[in-house]
Amino acid sequence: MAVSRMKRIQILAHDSTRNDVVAALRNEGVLHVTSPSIELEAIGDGETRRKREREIASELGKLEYVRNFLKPYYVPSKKGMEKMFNPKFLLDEEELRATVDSFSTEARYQSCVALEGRMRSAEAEIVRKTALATEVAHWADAGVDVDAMVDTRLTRIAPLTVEAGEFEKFRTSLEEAVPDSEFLEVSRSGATVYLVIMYLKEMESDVALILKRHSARWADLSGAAGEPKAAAERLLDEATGLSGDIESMKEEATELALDYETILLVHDDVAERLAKESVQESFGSTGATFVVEGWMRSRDEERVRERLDTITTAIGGSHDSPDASPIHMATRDPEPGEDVPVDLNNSGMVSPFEFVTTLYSRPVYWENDPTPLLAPFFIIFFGLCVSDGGYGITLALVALWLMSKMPHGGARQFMKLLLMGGISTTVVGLITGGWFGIDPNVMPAFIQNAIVLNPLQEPMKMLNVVFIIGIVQVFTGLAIKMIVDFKAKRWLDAILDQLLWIVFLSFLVPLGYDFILGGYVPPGIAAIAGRGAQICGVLVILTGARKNANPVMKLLGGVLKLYDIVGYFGDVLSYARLLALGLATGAIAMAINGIAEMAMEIPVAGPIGAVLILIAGHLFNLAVNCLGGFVHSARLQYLEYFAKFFTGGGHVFQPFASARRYSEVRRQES
Amino acid sequence: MEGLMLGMAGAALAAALAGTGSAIGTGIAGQAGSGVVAEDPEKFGRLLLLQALPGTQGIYGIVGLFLVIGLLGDLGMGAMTVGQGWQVLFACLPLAITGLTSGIAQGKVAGAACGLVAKRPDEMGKGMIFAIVVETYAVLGLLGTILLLGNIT
Repeated sequence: MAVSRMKRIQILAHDSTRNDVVAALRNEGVLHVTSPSIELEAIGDGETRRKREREIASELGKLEYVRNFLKPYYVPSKKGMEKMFNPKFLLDEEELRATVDSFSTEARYQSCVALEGRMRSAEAEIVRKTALATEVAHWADAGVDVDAMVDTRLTRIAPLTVEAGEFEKFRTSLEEAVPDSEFLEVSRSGATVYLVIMYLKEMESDVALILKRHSARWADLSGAAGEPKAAAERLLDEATGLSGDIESMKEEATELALDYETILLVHDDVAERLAKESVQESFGSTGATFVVEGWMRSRDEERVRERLDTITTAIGGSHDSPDASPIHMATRDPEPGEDVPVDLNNSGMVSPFEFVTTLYSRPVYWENDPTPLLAPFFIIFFGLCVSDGGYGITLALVALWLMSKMPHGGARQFMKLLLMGGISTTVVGLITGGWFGIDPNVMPAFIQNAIVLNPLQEPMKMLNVVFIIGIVQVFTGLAIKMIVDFKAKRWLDAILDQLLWIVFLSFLVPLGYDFILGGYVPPGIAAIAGRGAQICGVLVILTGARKNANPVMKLLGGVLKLYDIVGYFGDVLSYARLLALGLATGAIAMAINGIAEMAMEIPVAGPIGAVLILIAGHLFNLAVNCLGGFVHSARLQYLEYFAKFFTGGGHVFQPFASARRYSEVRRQES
Repeated sequence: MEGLMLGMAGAALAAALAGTGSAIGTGIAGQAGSGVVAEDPEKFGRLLLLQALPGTQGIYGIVGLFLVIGLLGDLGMGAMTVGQGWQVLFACLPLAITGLTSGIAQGKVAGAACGLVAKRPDEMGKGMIFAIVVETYAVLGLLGTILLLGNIT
């Protein structure tokens, strides 16, 4: 139905045209590249090409580094809404070339690396100086300069810290073991004692032992000089100075980020070049020729052919005689059963629903696209779930507004879906009398007159309506499967598995209405339905398991097949969710109105509170019900509908095409 | 007054049990979601959607509560007989019990779907569908309650 027809394409060309061909394919963006079906004996390995690929990859890596480093310093030229809806920069090929050529990745990379290195070392220096200043300050009362605490020829003089808890033991051990030592307790802070120690160098090993036993540590004050207090202040001043340096380095970075947008463009360009190199991994090649294979949509065939011809003509060849042409292109139709990538192609109204289909699975190439078949059901179900005219109009307006902001892309398709959902919801709201949960009795006459069925007052009637809708969809699913089987000439399956069941279920519907829902069915009809159902039941028992080889199982399987009735019954029951979700919308909306009414009674702040409650509450209800409406409507398609006729499992058609993240190049009309 | 008490008990059960189901369910899904966000903060939006799925049972519970309040209004406060009160109480049970159990079960499925989104973000729709299959029974429970409340005599 709407799966694009595909063709297998093979391009065999002379190596001199390689870059042109790859660029042409990338620009056209219509070829899904696969590995070639023919084995070419490669003369010369792809090492040169791989080396080039690695170089480009490394350039891309550098650009990514530059981009990430400069990002915090970039002031975007696009703001707010425009940035959100239209983030890409639009320019044409020449502009792009000029921009890209005037930019040197290597130079910018080097300056960024250097700048970041300076920033990091300045930051580390600040940390070091601040820590040292704190340390030095503890010796402020030592009465000596920091750089005076140095060894003489025979003695060691050095600053030291000991834990307060160990200090007494340390003192006694030291006095016992090394009587020729002296120390000066300078200060205490927290659990640490700061001191200066002096002893003869020859006692070094004894002292070291005591220090170790009482976990005393040498203090490293190198880098500080002069009177301790002044030294600490000087260090802090230096740290402040460095902070200033960092500020000016940030300004340098801001300067480097002035053409940040150029960097983004170059990033895109290099990524494109990389993609063009990487794709060649799937090419087959000999020394002088190369071959590309893949899939493309039939309708693109002429475009590709013309494009390749222009390359031929440009280098003086002629595509009229195969001998004079450096590029040879061959196509064929896919062979039955071949694994062909799937591209869905539906008209404007249906295409937004492709989202719903692909959420489940793509059809395989040889299958019909179920999108047009689910679209009408989906949109009606969505309307029934949200079921409020006010919400519907709100949703449609929001979707329209967002669409006007988005020129194209998948998000726009989704908004289109929401717009249709909004319209459907409005219609359902109109006929069920749902308007922001307001009691229909206080609404104007024309709204009251439009009400066909109010589900809040007559839920049973509404339940019957949604069951009928369910029966219609289940029957449609069976009918589609029947048509598919007929087309595939599986006559017996079509008649016995589908047609028989459609008739059988048609007889069961009035019986079910009578027995299960307790509705009234005229006796005449009930009698006919009963007899019909009996006959069909017997037929199902006789034919249901006809494919089973075992004769006993043939009959037993037929009886089991009768059990499918329960499955169909369950399917139809499942549509009751449409009623429940619809009622939930109305009930919550009424609850919100009720709460707002209560808030009105609060003096002064009441009306403001009520308005806030109304806006926030109804928006919340709208959002929750849209989510619920979407997933439940989708679920009914997947489990109750698709199960009858659709298998899916196709893989997506991914053409080799430009994928620029930040920019968009205008197509040049040649 | 005993009738009114029983009716109120039914409404309270519906809101409280279904709400509890949602609270536990969204809790489970939220924990799984946080784990994924720790790895990839950009997935937050999708994971929030998954976390919200088991939240509907609580809403259905409130819907049931309001339906009972509406019924009390129709009958006139206090005019409810003891028999009617029992009917309302029992009518609320499908919603209350399925809300509690399906909320928890759906939370587990949604939590697993968070793991699915972590590994294969494109397959999020399928994770949602798995969770929605569980919700069917909360919807049916709500429907059962609505139908039963409509048949109070």
